[in-house]
Amino acid sequence: MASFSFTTHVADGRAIIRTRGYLSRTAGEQLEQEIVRLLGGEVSRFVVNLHDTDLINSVGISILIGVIERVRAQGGELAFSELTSVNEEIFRIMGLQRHARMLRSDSDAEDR
Amino acid sequence: MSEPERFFGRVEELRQLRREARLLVRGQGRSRVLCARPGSGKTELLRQWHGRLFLEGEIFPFLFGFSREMADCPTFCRDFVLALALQALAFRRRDPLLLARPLPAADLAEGLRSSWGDGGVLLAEALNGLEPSASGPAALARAALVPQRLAALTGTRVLCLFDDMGNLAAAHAAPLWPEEAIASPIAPVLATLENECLLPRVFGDVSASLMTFDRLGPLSAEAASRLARHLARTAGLELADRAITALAGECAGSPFYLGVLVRALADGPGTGALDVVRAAASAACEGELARYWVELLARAIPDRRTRATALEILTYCLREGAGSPDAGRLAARMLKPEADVELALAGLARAGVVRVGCARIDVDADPVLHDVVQALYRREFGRMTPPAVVAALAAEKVRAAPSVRRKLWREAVRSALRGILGAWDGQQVPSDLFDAAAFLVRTGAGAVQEGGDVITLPQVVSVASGRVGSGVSLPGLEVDALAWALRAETGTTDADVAWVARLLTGGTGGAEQLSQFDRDVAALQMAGELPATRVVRWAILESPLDSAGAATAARLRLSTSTWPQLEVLAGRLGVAVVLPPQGPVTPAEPTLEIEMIIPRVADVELVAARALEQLAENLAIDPVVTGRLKVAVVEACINAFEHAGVADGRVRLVFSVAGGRLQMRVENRGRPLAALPSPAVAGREARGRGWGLTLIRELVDEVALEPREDGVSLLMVKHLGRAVHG
Repeated sequence: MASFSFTTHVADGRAIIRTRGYLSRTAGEQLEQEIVRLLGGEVSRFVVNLHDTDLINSVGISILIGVIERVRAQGGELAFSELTSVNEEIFRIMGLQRHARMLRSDSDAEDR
Repeated sequence: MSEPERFFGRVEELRQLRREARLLVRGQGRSRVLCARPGSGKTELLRQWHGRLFLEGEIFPFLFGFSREMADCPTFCRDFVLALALQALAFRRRDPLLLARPLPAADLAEGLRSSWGDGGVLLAEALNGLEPSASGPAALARAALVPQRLAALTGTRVLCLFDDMGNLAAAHAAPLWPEEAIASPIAPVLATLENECLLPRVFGDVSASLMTFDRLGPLSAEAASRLARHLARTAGLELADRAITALAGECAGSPFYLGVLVRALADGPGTGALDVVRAAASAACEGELARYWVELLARAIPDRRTRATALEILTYCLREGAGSPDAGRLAARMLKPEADVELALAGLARAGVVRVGCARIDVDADPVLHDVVQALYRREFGRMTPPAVVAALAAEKVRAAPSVRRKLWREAVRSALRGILGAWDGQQVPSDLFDAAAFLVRTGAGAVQEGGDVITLPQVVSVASGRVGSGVSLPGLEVDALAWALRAETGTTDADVAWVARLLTGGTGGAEQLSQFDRDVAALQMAGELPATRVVRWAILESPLDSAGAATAARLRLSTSTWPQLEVLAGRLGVAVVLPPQGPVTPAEPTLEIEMIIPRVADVELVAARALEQLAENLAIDPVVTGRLKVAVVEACINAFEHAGVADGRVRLVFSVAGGRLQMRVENRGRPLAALPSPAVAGREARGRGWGLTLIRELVDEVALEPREDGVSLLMVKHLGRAVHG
């Protein structure tokens, strides 16, 4: 069931992680590992681009919430970009918008 | 003249009054009206005359001043009788000092009983019989009768000296004079006034009184008739019109007389009655005058057998917005519905016989309404058409709306209602029409946010499978705004109710769904998630209720709205609604069923989601809807594996399509989902657990958990009526 992958692009202390495929528990844990790894370096700002992720489950989202809290605890920020309308609805229902910004594009993160 | 020491002259007036007093002593008392300009000495003349009569002792003079404040006072009637009793006691005891020393009512009554026999008893009973706050025509008439009864009972000559009677007329003319005072034999004083006050110093012979007026305002019917005929005969119509206009201003405080005058003119021989009345209406159709005016016409003109004139007058007044309930009903009765059914309906609406926004029109409740509906039946469709009634009512309401946008609204309403009428099956009265009209009435004074007026909308919550949701999800539709538009139908305000809505889809008729809705709300009320009372339950229906559903809604007192209604209302709100396909019901398509069993493998739920995606694509389901359904299935699978445990790690899925419903059933063996944790609890205990059912309930139309002996079956249903695109 290898249905998830991601790529990471780091520049100027910011990482853009582009996901592809189903964001499940397994995928969430992979993302968690990657972000924790980057946090140990010079990266404190993260954008998770979900453009190519059309399906997310509640367990995966809950793992992301934990990741967000960890990033914020270290003075960083994690945002999501290019969500599908359904994913945005799921995030809203689960209250993820209280924890992280929802960006239209990756470049929106620079506006702040 | 306002001070006693400066009272001089008035020799002729006193001589006339003395003559009247002699007549009264001989049992030939009569009424006089003293009319003169304010400040010319009427009140002082009355006081002087009262003092002289009091000292002479042959006539009991009862002096009472109708100050403006007193006439409006709620204790006026009792004050009137108290003054009479005090003056009677002073007169009986020959003690003028009592007049300046008011006594408590109890002492007064006791003093009268002991000093004036039957007269004292009469006055004491009158005092006791009037509640302190007694008011209105009946109480006033009873009070006015007491002096007459005292005179009759004791043989005493009583002369009522009523000062500033015009204030009483202004305060009580409307309820008293047209009907009560004229027809009632127990109000002789007022009746005398009504019949005889044509001009200053016009005398009557019914009772003994002297009343002062400041101006010519009040005119009796007889006087008005004489004057009008005289004008019409001698001066022609033009002058009569001008006279009416002038009198309209003069009679501003007494619209009754204006009406009487116009009535007389309209009835005058050889005059252009309708033109006269129109002229009068032009002068009078503003504010309160209009109401009195039309009521009088409604009563008077039909009696004169001038039906054609009456019809034209009523039509004119209704079109000018001057209709009263009486006039409206009269118009509806007299107007030929075939000729102007909208106007007849407008009259009925004014009369309150029909009401825009009501759930049903009971055509048999009123014979006039029945005739009107029959007229619509003949004109519009060849059968009885309540929707047409509502369409006409709505159009009339919009016509009367003050907004400058009413032309646009009118066209929009007519267009929308025509659409609904076109789709109407002719079997049931669609309440959406009524509600649409109600909405228009509500927006007649301003839209949800227009002209700087911001209207706070009520908070509408949804109930899905017994759980309170954060809002009602309808594609592009502001349900809260609809609740605001419809709240008048429930007689509620935003502050005193909680709106609870459920979207019922599937076209099953609704009775069972409505009952379930009722049970869910009741359960939530018991659980404290909704208020115990003050809840408006509102079912939004995808298709009209069948007879059982309608009966259920009525029995449970549920508010219902349908999609056509939403279309109209959403149009008014400027939002779009994706409507179910219109037209004849297509036969149910063959059932399609896909069954799959998936093992407990990481991320295997994706397989189920992809299968569903393929099925949805074949069914032309909107991709966004498909995305929601995929999440729902994924969550269901996760839950199923969670609860299946290791004993049997398989989950069975069945996707089936029939009757416009996509059913997604997810079954597992293992422990049942008896106690589902709330998301908040689950979040504390294990991340990601407990959100599954929350999401599912948000994403599909129906959810049912069916515990079984060896596991759980979770049924999710999506109605395809609004989910299919293209």
